[in-house]
Amino acid sequence: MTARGARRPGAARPPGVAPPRRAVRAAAIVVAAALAFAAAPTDSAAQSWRAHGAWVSGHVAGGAFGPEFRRPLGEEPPLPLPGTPGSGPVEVASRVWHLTGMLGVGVNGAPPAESGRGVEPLLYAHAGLLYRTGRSIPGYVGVVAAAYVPAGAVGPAAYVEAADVAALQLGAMHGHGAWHGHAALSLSMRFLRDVLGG
Amino acid sequence: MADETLLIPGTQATSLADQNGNIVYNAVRVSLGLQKDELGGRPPDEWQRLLSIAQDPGSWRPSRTSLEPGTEIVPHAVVGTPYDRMMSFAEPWPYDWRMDMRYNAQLLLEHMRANKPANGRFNLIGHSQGGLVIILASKLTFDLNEFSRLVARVVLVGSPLAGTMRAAEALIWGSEGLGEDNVKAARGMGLTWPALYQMLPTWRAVVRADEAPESDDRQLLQRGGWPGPFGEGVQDDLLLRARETADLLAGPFSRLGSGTMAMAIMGKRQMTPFEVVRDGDRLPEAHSYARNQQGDDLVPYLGTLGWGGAGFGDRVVALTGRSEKHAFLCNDPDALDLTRRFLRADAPPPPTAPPVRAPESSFHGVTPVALDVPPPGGPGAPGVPT
Repeated sequence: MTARGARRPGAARPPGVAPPRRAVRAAAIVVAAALAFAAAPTDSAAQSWRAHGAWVSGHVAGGAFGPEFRRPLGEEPPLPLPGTPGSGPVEVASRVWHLTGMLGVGVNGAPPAESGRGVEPLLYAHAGLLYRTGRSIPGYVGVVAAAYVPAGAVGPAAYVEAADVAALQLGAMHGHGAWHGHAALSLSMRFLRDVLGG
Repeated sequence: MADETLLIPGTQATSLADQNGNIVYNAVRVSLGLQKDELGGRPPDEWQRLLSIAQDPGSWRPSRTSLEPGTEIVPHAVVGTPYDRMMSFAEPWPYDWRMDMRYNAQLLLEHMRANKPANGRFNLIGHSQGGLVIILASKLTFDLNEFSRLVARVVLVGSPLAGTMRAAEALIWGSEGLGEDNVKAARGMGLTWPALYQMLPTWRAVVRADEAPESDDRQLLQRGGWPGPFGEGVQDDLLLRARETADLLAGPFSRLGSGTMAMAIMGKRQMTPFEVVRDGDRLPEAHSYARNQQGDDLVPYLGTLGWGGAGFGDRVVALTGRSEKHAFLCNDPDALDLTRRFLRADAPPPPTAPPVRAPESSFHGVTPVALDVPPPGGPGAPGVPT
């Protein structure tokens, strides 16, 4: 059995197909960005544990879980600390642009017919920019760069989130010389626990 | 020093379980309609008895936590959905949100006395009713300095210090949270919950048709505020508890002590009910308000600010723009940012002075009820009533 993305010895690369290491390099950049985001010391990065179910045609049909971090962009609102002049209430306007990053580990259950392998580990990462909507159901829309390794798929995805608990991603992934469809659903783990009655 | 952060959640946010561990109330499942047909596996005609409680006059501890024979209800876990990102740095403290808030304040004090961090103090985040429990805890210590010795920082998020029309709504009309067929049962159980009465509006929320305020004796903290059929089931003892609690909640930060710093985060974006019209001896038959005010859709902003007074206003951060509604205010990114930075700011040192007895007048005519923990310093200690 040949590992996914690897050519048989001596086989020629099909014309117009990008080297697989380009996708791997891009995936590494996404993972590094998400890692850097997670590790950055900041008071304002808020964390949510997420369950992430994913599909990338021919590459991923699996799930991962891990922390998602979010940080608002813009000036931090002032704190009413002791010793500050008493000037009445401080009014704070919402910051609407947010950086997001997520790292998740899980399992890729892509069937052998599609992936060339059975169950294998899966690392998921994304980094991106979100815009906070002002609808009656609070939410975010935005774009993320997402990557799955070692499945070797990386690409942009549109990101829509409702009520800060459920996010849908739709996009395209480049891997092993071609573009593939990508869909994913992320749910807050605490929301899942509540729904299951824990 | 290593301070420990507790999250005191709001009404309904602690799931309730029976004595066998079966969940009988989970607010997230209820709001999604998943628990409407099987509240703890019990039929709807048992729900009112199941979730009603009984109080003996003068006692803050309930005499029965369920009116269903053979059933006892206890607080279970705190739901995570409204506190998803806050729970990454705060430990939730579950409590039974139906009970007299002063009883829960005593339980919180007892918890902090028994579990004080060895080299630090507690930070307390109170959402909604949770914030009221914190303020009441600060008002119910015998030693004026005790709260400061226990608590370094207090953050209130959407706390209805002056009350909320949503509590009145539940008692006047009942809630549809358990389904349209169970509104009457929801009202019936709510009428036995001291905490709902204790969150009734303290302002003149009942107005006449010409929008002039009704007299004080026809406001919702008085028996005269509940005319005709709206007064059925309203308990005088619970109205008395509401008035006592309102007195304790006035000047909310006045008893925190010099070693505790505080901040109140409030929403100022959502339309929030503020006044209801009374026509003679009739309140509206359905949800209908004479006037709304900016707020978080449960806590009116200006009404609460006015109740808190000048010292309180200096500690308030008002979220405008796209701030979340009341239930999800703790997930608001700006509220989270403010809270995390506030918890990392240097707090004043805890007081080192010996215990100072609180004047009787500070208890507003009520005597804090000792639970299983004696007053600080124990009987006979300086400044401690025996």
